[in-house]
Amino acid sequence: MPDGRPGPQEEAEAGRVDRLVRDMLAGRRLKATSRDAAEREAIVTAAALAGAREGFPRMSPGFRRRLAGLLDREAAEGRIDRRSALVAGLGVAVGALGAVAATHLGPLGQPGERSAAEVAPPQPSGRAVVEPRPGRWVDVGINLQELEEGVPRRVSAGAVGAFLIRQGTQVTGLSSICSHLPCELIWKPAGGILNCPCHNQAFNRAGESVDPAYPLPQLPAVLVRVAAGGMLEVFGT
Amino acid sequence: MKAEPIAGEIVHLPSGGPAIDAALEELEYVYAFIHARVGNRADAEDLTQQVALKAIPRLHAGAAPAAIRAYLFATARSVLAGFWSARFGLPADQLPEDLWVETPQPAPAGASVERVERILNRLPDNYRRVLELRFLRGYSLREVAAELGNSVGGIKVMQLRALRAAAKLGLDA
Repeated sequence: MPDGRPGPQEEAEAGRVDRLVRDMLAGRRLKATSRDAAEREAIVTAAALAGAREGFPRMSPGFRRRLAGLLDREAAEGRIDRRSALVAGLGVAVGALGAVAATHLGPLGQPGERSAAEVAPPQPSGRAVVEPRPGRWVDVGINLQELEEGVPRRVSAGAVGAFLIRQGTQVTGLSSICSHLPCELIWKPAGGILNCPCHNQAFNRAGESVDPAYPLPQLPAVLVRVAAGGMLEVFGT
Repeated sequence: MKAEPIAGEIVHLPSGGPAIDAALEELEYVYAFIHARVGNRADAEDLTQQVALKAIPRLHAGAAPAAIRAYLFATARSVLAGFWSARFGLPADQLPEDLWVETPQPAPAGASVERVERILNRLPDNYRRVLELRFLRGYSLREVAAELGNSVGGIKVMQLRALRAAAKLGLDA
């Protein structure tokens, strides 16, 4: 490697790489972008050097607690066993599948008023519905007003995980588990998709698979309604 | 990317404390493995959590610890490949292979540090000094410049050249 005088380009690269190094050494996230791709080997090396400072780091107590909570919740909700069954092709995710029913849209009542039509009549879309038995309506702690238009919000109703999506005056509930492998979907605002991290498959806000080359079954619907005061309730366990 | 985990191996975790504690201990190894590669706590936590979420359906009371560990590390590698690939906007096969820690298993405490030291020792003296001061002792650029009697701008460029040289040694090692 020559030790000659740096050109302006090398100086600029050195500055960019140093900004990343400063972040790493301060424990901040790595903000590398495609502009840094030319120096990727130097950056990956810097990350390894920064990582070596701590030798054998342990998780912080706070993070460990969060992770324990996550594992605990999964175990308590029995999702683990059920997912395993799904992997084996032995069972269904939750409740009664196969009913001909629609994505349930909770009609929007006036605040303070319990809607008369809490469950909209099923529509023949062929979509499965998550209907745990025994099940119950669970207040998910979110007010309709807080639900941003078109932005899925992940909620739990006991063992039932759902994304709630508001479109205009209607709220849709979709299962938060991929219809292929039993993995938890993640909302990606950039693409406007619910993405499955296990196989990089995605669904749109209507719960339809977006890859025409590899279509997956629609996401099952989860029942949702608007209760008193505009609070959202999901049919769970 | 090598790490599409083995399909069909069904494992599940019994509810309750001891199983979760055991899983957390395994995840400590995963965290250390990831931290040694991304070099910062924030990203290491995010990626460890991703591994945990992916692995939960396969954690299994009866499974041999070695099988669980192999699965977790395969998952960690795949998550890391996705991390770098997203950062640089490149497909995983154009990314540097795992330069620094060759073992697919959790290394005993300090193994990655030893490897780093081995590689640093093979660098020209000025490069080694910059990287040691900056990374292992946490000096700021200004402090490194003062220590080595150079300008901040000069040290910045030397740091980049030293990282490139170390990367090359890491690849060849």
